[in-house]
Amino acid sequence: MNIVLKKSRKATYNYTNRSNIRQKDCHVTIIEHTPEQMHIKLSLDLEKIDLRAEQALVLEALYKGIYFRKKLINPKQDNDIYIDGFPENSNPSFRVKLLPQINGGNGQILSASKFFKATKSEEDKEIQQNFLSFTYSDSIGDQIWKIEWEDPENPLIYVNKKFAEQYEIKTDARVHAFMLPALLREILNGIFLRFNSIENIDERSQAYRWLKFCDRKLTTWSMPDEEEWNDKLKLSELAEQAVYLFSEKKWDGKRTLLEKFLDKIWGT
Amino acid sequence: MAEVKIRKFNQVGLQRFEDFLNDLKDNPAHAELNEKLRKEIEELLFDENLTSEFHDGSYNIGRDKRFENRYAFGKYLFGIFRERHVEKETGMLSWLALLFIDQICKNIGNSNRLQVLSKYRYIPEIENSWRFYRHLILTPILVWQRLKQDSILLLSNPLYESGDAVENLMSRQDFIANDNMISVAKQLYFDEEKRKPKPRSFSDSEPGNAKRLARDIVPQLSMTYDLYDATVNQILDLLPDEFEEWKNSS
Repeated sequence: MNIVLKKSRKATYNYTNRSNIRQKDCHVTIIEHTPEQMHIKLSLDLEKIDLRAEQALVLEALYKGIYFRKKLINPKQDNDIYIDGFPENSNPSFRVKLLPQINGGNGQILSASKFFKATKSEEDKEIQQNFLSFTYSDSIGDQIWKIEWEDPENPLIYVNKKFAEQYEIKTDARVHAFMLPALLREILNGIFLRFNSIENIDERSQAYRWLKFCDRKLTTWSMPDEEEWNDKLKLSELAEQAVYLFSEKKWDGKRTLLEKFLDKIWGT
Repeated sequence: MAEVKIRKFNQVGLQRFEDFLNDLKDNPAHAELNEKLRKEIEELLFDENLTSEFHDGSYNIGRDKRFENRYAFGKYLFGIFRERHVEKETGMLSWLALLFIDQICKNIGNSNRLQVLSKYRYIPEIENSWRFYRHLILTPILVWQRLKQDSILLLSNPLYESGDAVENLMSRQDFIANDNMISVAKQLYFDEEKRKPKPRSFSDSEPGNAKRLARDIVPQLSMTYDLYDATVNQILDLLPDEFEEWKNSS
């Protein structure tokens, strides 16, 4: 390893002609991120990466000076990865490197991806799209949040700007435990109050997506039938049932909102 | 030594702290560290409407302790927080800034007046990657968490100097996250005998300075070499000629 760099060379100059691993060929999904551990799923297109017997793949993750590295002994199976040390809600950068096997290697990288960010799991995305679409406002007084129904099909969730500045409201387990069940209750009751059939709700609207979310994700909950849409008491019960199931649900198969909240309080 | 429970500002407290800093900055006469100012600081620190105990009062701190440099300060704070991630604790970090304000503010000339600089040195701006490392309390903690004893390379200056060097180096991920790279930097730029960085280590005009290593050379080498798996000597061998003098200087 005695290659000498010239002072004028730029940081982007690829002087060993190493190849690139395309970003679309490597993908990291965050399954769960607790205070203790980050669980990710790595998927690689091994054919495109052109991994050979004498080579090794390495996954790296970096976040504010914290480094994680895992050599993928069997890349086809090593896709469930647990990482310690990254703070909850941190957003590390990932990189995949292809290296010669250690014994024969000289430290030179054969190919590598650029740094890329992980994507959230489908369930997390679902939550983000439905519940966590907030509008920050400084005009709702000292209310922490408020729902505006000017467009009944697309209710807007206003969150107090001062509150949002203090908490990571999209990711903070404490905020989720307190806010989300109450938000769900008000949203469902608001929809049930304003519509008398699902047929009257545009499928592309936010209100429709809330109902579909409950129908799909809350196992024993089902959309009110035609008759039930006209029974306001029954609708109110259905809204309560949805909130109960939502609070009982173990998100990503692991913990309820309350359990996440308690881990946040006592787990760090 | 008087110990107090570490507290944190709430949103209103943070605003009051910001107003307090602005007042000291705009009116240097108010920054005279006299009984009146001390009383004002005391009231802000322990006002129940503006602050509350951090983690139910489970963290104590010696409020009268004096520190020789940021290294000693970071070591002490690291001893309190250990590996706990505190970077998002804006209220607590700002409260600590007020607790140690007489040490993290330089005196103006020979006077007893505190020189208050930009707000982000006292109230962290976590989401701003350029200002993140300029906080005078947070950075010594983060550097100690990351580098432990080796943080002397970056923290040998007084508490009131945030230091261009530390910000430049801490923000370079492939530099700061690599233990071997830190050892290389220590070997090149740290005077073990005097226990401080060699003169001009961080000077932009000096060939092969530490900032150039972190800013230009490490990203360049990282492109083609697996520096995380390289030994210190392998990395030293990869460095261009401009680093020869540093390699040979004792």
